[in-house]
Amino acid sequence: MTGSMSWTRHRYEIAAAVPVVAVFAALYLWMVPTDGPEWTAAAFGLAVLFAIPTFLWLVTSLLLVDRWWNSAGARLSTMDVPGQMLTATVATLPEPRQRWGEAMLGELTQVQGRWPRWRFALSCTRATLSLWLPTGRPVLAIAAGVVVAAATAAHTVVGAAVPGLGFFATCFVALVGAMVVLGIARAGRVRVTVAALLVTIAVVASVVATATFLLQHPTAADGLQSASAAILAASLACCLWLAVAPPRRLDTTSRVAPNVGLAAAAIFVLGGLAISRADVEGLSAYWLLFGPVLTFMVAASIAAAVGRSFRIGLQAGIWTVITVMPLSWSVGLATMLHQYGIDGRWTFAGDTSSAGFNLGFAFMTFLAVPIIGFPFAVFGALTGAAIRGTRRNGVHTGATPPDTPPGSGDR
Amino acid sequence: MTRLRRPSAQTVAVVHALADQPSAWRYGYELCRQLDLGPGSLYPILVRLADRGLVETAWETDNSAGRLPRHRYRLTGSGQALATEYATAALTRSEPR
Repeated sequence: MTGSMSWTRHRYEIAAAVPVVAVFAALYLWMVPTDGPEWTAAAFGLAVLFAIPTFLWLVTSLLLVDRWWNSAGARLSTMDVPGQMLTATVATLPEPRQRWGEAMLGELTQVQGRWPRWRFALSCTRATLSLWLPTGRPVLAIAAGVVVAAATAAHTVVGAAVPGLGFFATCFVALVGAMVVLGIARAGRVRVTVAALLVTIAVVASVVATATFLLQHPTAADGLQSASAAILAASLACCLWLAVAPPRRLDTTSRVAPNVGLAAAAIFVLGGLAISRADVEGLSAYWLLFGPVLTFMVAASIAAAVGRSFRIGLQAGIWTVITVMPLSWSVGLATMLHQYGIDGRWTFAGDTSSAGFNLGFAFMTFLAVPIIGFPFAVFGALTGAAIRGTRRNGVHTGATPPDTPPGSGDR
Repeated sequence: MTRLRRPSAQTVAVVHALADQPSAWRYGYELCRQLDLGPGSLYPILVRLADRGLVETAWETDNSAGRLPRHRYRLTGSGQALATEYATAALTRSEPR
């Protein structure tokens, strides 16, 4: 039994590690130079550079699997495949329908025999689809149609007004629209909190800053090609979604996580701004490398220690990511435009540059900060939780809702 | 009480099955076996009935041996009235003209 549990656990570890390696390998292959002078040396240098975040994310993914295994994974491993399948399906249900999924899981325990269990689990999975779509399908079809029309119109209208922004606009409108449709389908609640509002403002500011930049410097579109524009749109849309309609596992009633996350993001961005104003050679590069390490890790460990929970520390890390991305992008673009207004030319590290190059570098920074920072948020959350001692996962401190399955808080 | 518009034969069967023993709590798997209905059909019907206040639900209180709790169902007063209505309608249809 122990041997089989250990093997099951290894399978989850492999399942977590493989996508991490695949994503970084794909990114490397996308960026690696394949010609030009000394391209082999450049390719090797890039490989060394990629090895660091790949290693950090591998460790992070294994730590997260370890945490999950200790809380829920071990229980899952004692189930047969139909049980695991139904548990995974039920976990995707919107909150108001969760109890029905729990009811199906409870009944599955009564079904004996391999094939009857498979039939029951598959039939329940079919039932969850109707629980997933509580809103009438015509409403969904209309909403989806509006999103497709808006995304198409965005490409034409925005592309005509701001050349180079059409593809970004299509992606952003399509993704935000898809999230709205998903929200309607799941009858999800939109969370209106100060933190969510601030992230929304930062996302709007990012879109405005991008449009302004490309409007004033159309040649900068070279620095934001289709793939980059799609990634930028997807990242901003994800930040918005996590802030206003987070999935159940990330939602929190604690104010510690969003407050600490927002503060950390503000410190990182304002710190970077102050350092760039100080004009000390090389200091900005150090801040770019060690700033995320410091701010993400400290923020997550403080949140975990105050909340006495790894999960609250992790949530603080996620709040830092979703705030720092739009904030650093909008502030970075505004700063570049301001500097161009003073100098009358584009510069990078003292040398003459171009609008496209600077925009491309800002995009790389936009991606690099959370890639470097988030693993340290996980390390910080583990440290903070270990220092203060964690509460038992999911212990209810308030009254149990009347139609909640007994003991569901432990799962 | 919200009435179901044009109930399906399966919905009527579920309502009748629950009305057989109005005060008894029934389980999902038990209803599936009794009606020869898959959970993929039964649960959406139970959800609709519960949403309309025709079925009340409760979790099993005796959660022994650490197994997952079971959800139980029975008709509410409105649900019982609906069952009577269905039965009357069925009788009316079956009477020779």
